[in-house]
Order: sequence, then C-alpha cells, then structure tokens
Amino acid sequence: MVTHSKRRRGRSQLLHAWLIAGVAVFGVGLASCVRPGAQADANTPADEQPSEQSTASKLDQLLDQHWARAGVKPAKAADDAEFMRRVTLDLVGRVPTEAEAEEFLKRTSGRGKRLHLVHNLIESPEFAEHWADVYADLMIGLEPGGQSRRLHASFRGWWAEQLQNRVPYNRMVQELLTVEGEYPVADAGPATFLFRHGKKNRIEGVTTEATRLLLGVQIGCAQCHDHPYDDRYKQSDFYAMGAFFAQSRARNKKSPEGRMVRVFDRPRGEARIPNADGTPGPVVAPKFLGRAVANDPQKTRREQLAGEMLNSELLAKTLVNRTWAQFFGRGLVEPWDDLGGEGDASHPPILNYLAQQFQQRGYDFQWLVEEIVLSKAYQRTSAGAENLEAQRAFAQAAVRPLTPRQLFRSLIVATGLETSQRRDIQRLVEARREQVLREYLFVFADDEAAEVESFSGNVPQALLLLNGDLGNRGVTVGASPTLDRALGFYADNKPEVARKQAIETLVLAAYGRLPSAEEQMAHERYLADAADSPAAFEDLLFSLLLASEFQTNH
Amino acid sequence: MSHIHRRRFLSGGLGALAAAFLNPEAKAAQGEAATKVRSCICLFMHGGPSQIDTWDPKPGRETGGPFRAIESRVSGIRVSEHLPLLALRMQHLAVIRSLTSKEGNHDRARYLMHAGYAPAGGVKHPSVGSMIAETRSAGVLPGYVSIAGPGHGPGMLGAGFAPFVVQNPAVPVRNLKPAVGVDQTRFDRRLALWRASEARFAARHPGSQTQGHSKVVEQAVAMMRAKDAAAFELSREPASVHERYGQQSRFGLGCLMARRLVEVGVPFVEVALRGWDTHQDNFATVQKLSAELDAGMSALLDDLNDRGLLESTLVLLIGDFGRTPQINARGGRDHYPRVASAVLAGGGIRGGQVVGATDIDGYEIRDRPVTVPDLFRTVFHQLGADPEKTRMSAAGRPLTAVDGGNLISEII
Repeated sequence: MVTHSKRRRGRSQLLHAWLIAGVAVFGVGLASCVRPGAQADANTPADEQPSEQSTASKLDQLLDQHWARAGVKPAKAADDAEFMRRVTLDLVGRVPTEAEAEEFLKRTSGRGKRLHLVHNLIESPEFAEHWADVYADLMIGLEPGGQSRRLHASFRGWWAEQLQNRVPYNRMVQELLTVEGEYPVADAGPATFLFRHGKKNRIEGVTTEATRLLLGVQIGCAQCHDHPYDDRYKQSDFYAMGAFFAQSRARNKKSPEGRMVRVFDRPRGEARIPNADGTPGPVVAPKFLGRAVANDPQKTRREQLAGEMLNSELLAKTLVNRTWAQFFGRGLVEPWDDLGGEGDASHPPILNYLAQQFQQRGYDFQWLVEEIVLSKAYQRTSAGAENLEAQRAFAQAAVRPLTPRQLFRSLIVATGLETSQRRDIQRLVEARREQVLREYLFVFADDEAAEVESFSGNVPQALLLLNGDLGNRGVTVGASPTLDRALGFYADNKPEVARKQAIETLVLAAYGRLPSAEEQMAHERYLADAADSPAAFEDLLFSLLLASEFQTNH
Repeated sequence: MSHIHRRRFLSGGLGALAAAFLNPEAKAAQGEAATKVRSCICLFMHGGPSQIDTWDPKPGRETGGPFRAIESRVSGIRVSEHLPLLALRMQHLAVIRSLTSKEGNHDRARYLMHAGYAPAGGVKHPSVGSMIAETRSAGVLPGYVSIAGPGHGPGMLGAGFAPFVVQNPAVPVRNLKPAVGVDQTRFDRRLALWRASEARFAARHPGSQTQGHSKVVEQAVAMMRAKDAAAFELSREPASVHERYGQQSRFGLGCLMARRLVEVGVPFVEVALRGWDTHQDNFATVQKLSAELDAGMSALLDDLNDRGLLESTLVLLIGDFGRTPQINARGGRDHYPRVASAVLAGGGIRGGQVVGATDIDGYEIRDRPVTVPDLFRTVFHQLGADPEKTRMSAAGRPLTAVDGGNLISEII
C-alpha cells in the first residue's frame, strides 16, 4: 500500500493523533514524589534565582526578538490559577484536583512557586504515563481489530519506563532503531515500531514513518515519484533511505508462551526502486537523506542508520518542534513533521537554540519540557480578544479543545470518580474508557489514516456530553466524591456558611480557581432558591463541566 | 479569478448582477436553479475508485481488465457490467469521464475533493458541504451530515457548520434523549446554568473556540427537541426498503438515511463508500463495491424521483482520484489523479449524457478535461450558492468559495 506522509498537512494532526483511550487510571498522589532538588528550588526566593545565566532567560530573549520581528505585543502573564490548570493538563493530561489547586493558590508567589509545581508534575509517575500515551499514539497508533491495542500498550509501557528512568532521548531512538530479538508482544517495547511499520518485508512504511517522526522529513512523498514541490528528495533518495531497513525482518510468531514479535537482521537484502509496472528495479545503496555514508561492514544497516540519525541535528530539532507543538497547538515550524532537511536556513532561532541546548543537555526530555513551560511564551494569558497573529507568534495563549484523553481523565478527576471506592462506579469508569475508544476514534481500517478531524466540537460530541452516562451518572450525589464533599459542609455549618464553602469546592474542582464575587453570588442565590437540594448541586456541577472553561485548555 | 472566468462573468453575468441589485431576494447570477434545488447528496468513494472498471470501460484493451461493458438505457453509453441497475437509470445520469487533478495522495486528494482547494499553507478551507449548509437557513438538524465517513471540516466557517458524523447508519444516533433521571425541568435548569457559566467565560475569552463550543451545544439541544430528528431512524422504514438499498451495506443504508434527511430539508448529506484503494486484487474488490454502489444509488434515485425530489436534489458521485489504466503485478491499480470519473444526477442536471473522453487505453484525456473547480462551480450554480463569495482566511487572505473554474454548461 502506498503510504504518503504529507497526508496530515492541513488536518488537526496533533489532535487526532490522540483520539484514543485505553489508558489505566493512575493515582493522583503526585505530591509524594518530589525530587529533592525540586524542594530546594522551591525554597529559593524568586529574586535569588540566577535568572541572567539561566537558559530560560536566553529563551525569553529570543522570544522578545521573535515577537518584535512578528510585530506583536505579548499578552499579559497568566495568573497562577491559569498557569496551573494549563500546565497540569499539558504535563500529566488532566485538570488539577481540588486539593492541588487549593494548595497551590495558597502558596506565596515567586518564581520558585511555578518551578516547584513544574518539578512536581515532571517527577510524578503520571508525567511518564501521559507522554507515553502521546508517543504510543504517534509512533504506533491504534486501529480497530488486530494486534493494534497490544502493540500500542507494549510500546507505551516501554516509553513510560524510559521516561521514568530519564533515559536520554537519543538512546531511546537508538534502541528503537537497532533492537533485535524475540519477545512476547507485551515485552516487545521498542521492537513494536519496526514490527508495526515494517511487516511483510516492506521497507516503505517504516522508512516513511521513521524519517517523518524522528527527523521531521517528509521523504515518503518521494516514494512514487520525485517530489512535485520540493526538489530536495528524489525517488531514489527515498529508496536509498529505505536501504537501511532492507536487511531487517519483522515477524509475528506463535509460541507456547503466546504471540511473539521477532525482529532480526540478515547480511543480505537490498532496496530496489520499483519499475513502472511494479516489478523490482535497480538496487540502491544506503544514503542518509540523499547524502552518501561510509559503509561500516562491522555494523548492521540499522546500526548505521542509528549512527547517522544520532549525528543529525534533525533528531533534536524534530523532538523540540514536536514538543513545542504539543504545548502551543502549533510548532515553531508548521507542520511539526516537515522540517525540510538538515541545516535549513529557514528554521527559526528559537528552534535552533532549543535543539542545540537539548543536545548539550544530553537529550534530556524533562529538561526541555521544563524549559518550555517556564518560558515567557507558555506563561502568557489566553484572556482578552482573540489575536490570531499573536497566537501564531506564541504571544497569546490559544484556547484549545481538550483531547479525548484529557477530557476523559479530567471528568473523572473533577467529579472525584477516579478515587471512588464504589465498585459500580469503578466499573462504569472502566466501561466508559472502552467507549471513549469506540466513539471518538473513528479510523477506517481500509483507508490510510482517515480520521475525524479533531475533538474540537461537533454535535455528536455535545450530545455525548449532555446525555452520556458518564457525565450524568458520574455527577450524582453518592457517586461523585466532589459532590459529597460539597454537601458535607451542611452537616455542621449554617446553610449560608456551608453554601459558600460548597461553591468554592465545586468551582475549584471544575476550574482550578476560586469563584469570582459575581459568580459566588449567582450560585448562592441559585442554591438558596433550590433549598440546597442534592439535585440542585448535581445540576450545578453538571453545568460547570459542560462549559467551555472546563472543556478547553486555555 | 481566471481570465476566462472574468470574461464570462462580465459578459454573461451583468444582467443577473443588475437583477440582484434591483431585487435583493434574488441571489446574484444564479438563474432558475436557485429557486428549485434545495439539497445535495454527495456519494464519496473513499480510496479512489477505478474509472475503467466502472464508468469508462475499455473492453478488449490490455488496460481494460476482465470486466465486460454493458449497454445502458441511453444508447451509446456503456458502463461496467457490475453497474446494471444504474445503467438502467442512465437517463438521469451525466457521466464525466474527464475529471482531472494533480493530487495523487489520499489525504490531499480527499481534501481537494471536499473543499475544492488543494491543502496549502495553513489555510483551513471549508468543505463544500459546510459552505452549502451556510447558504441555507439553519434548521434544527445540522446542515451537513456525513454518513459512514468523516466528511471534511468547516474550516474558517467554524464548528457550527461542522459535519454531523453518523458512523454507522444501522444503529440509532446515540445520546439523543436526556439521561435517565434528568427530567425536562432539570434539563432546562442545567442549560440555564450552563449558559450563565458559558457567558462568564466568553466575556474573558471571546474567541472562536468558545463560540464554537456554545454553538454546538445549542445545536445539540435543538436537535434533541426536533421532531425531524426521526429522519435518522431507519427503523421507521419497512424491511423491503432496507433490502432495496442493500441492508448489509453501510453505504446502502447511508443512502436511505440521506433520502430521509433530504426529505426534511437537510441541505447537504455525504455518504461514504470505503475500500476503493485497490492496489491489489482490484477486480474482486471493485465488483463487490460496485454492487453496493449500484443498489444504494439506484434505490436513492428511484425514491427521490418517486417523491418528486429528484429535481430539487443534486446527487454527486466522486472519489479521491482515478486509478492507473496499467494493472500492476498484484492485480491492482495504483493512484491516478490525471483521469477520474464523476457522475451527477437530479438537481436540474441534464442526464443521459457523457462529458469528455479518454484515449483508447484510458491513459490520457482526449476531449474536454473537467477540473475540480469546474465541477464545484457547477454544483454551486445548481444549488443557487454564490461561488464567488469571498471570506478572509485566518492568515488574512481572501478566498472565494470556489477556486475559479467554469460551469460544465452542457449538463445544466
């Protein structure tokens, strides 16, 4: 099957790549895993931060220049609540809990406050799990039927473990490209990539995907013909890149222990450019992005490829651009997986700088995440009139729809269902997780990657939010610990006092902020009129969760 | 605007333009069809159907493959033997054998065939379905319904014109009724509270994302309350009707749902038939898909005709692109954007004719190439929508609804 890779251009690739569920629920107790260093940072007063020398300030200088060149004025800084909700959604894939939000908002301000929060999030197991989901969706994807779910889970488990152990990104890529051996599917981890894209001895899929995902180069377009718009890569360059995979094999094997994935190399096998009638044509020797490489007979072809990739500046640049796109909804170069080639003079200084730093810091993904989220750009407010020009220059935060995964986890965190001890609630959450997969992931098995555009809003989604069982059964007294907590204030307080506290609880749980005076008054009046009935509380929380403030990352 | 088009506009369009000024009710330069054609049903062949094995047979040639060509109701027009029912309805069909484009990659081609523009430079072009929906007064049902396929987004028109996607027409649309335990009073109270929260957030975040969310929730609520939503319930049709459309076929049932939706005034319905990407085993696959297409589309044309809706409903059959005349080593045909077929019916189209011709082996267009903008300009014309309507893209570039092109005058 011909697999072109330019296909995602113009689509909401970043969103639809995650229209997927199947993730285990992870504990919310992230405060328990704080790195010792993070504590020390947090206790350093803001004005003692070595801001001039820190790389964050260098990035901020570049941002100032970027904004000046784009002729945009940066939006105001996001306040603590706005920052906390955004960074929690982006780093661990869910809204803050009521307790986390309350604790954070109480702390005295200072640069160390946000640094401490970011460290906590990065160090939490949820961080690795969330990013493993993101990368499993990207590198393996999910399709209905077949082994897709098990391959996805296997890759995901491996990626999470690497992140938890803070394995450098270049080492992960090396492992991904050179892994060999025979593994049960669940333990195949990095081998799932070659298996997923390189089955049936076909080199086209794995060549296209490895080049696009790891190097940000759309060489796959040159598979059938020389590139129509970009003369950088010829069809022969595509197959020369493919030659690195021509001696590798990925096999599915049944064994007494269950299904096995086997990936291995042989000393023979060549890439051939197909003739017009589909028959194999001339052999091409390996070339890396069209450039000749010295053949090292001591190494397998894949080892040689890994060597070239690890020496290429594109490896770091692609990861930086991909990560940036995840945080802002668009890459420094758009689309994130189309960087053109090595040494492209059009790459913006921010990309060049971050990629260089990322390399120098040993391909430390967590460093990169911290660097970006503590930058001035990430900490702009999304409030105020929408300024698309400013948003394109990262000078105003965009209001972005939650991904299905984010929305699902946020719903169970805000209602408290995630921590519910009730078996029937746990079963509902489990069943719903499966449904998220079925309802939101609309992939055609017979075509190539034709998926719904994004989760950003359509009537079926709105109907699901309005009338679906999770949003309804989950937001009932007795099922939702958040509602129970709110109603609990009435046990030993006067209604006026209890009402005030209950409203704070609901707004904190839903939005991670305290209610405004106007909002507080409106809700108090509503609850008083409804005699503080449990149904009135259910309806209030339901409506808060249906609103844009909950449904978006802003 | 191309040269030719500008000239046509100036020479042919002035009278209509003047009429539009004199009579604001008349939409500019649209002609008679503007008043009659209400809806469009687009049958979208996902993956790129083989034109030689369907509408442009090459019997006896090496590229022709094993299928025979059969005579149709209209003498001289021959089609594949696997489209016997549609052959009998040829008097309604205008077959274009010379549709051509440059997009040979599925996603780019599908984008082009939905939006009329090739993907370029970050502009999100709205789908034709969204644009047509925008020209019609908003009913309670969505203006653009996409069945068995994802359709294409609304681009700069915003979430209010996004396709309402029905994944599987065989099962009822989910979540159309309030949840158990939520009566009308509580549902209304929830909505009132939600609107207040929404307004609070929108006051600080007045952007398109917020507006879009409000709009789709309101649409969903309107739909829950609409009697016309019964158009989605295929269980209201007798078994014999299901059978005629092809009850084993999502596409067939999608055609049935499309008919029901058009009956209640939905302006644009897309029905996808998937699986045409026949790089291998082309002939068995095309035969199977042709049977689904033949049954579903024929039943649709019959029902529209019987109900007097064929004149007010334009039926359009398109796909990603055509496929190579050359049959590859795996018995397949590969992508071939240079030549494809399209079919139009109803909606004021003059049926019983063929437009354009390919050479004897189907490699090149010999006569009257038709471009994608030509096709969509004709669709807009028939539906009384303005192809020159200009919108600003997010990048501040003005974009016309249709990217130039000329009317396919022989079929209207």
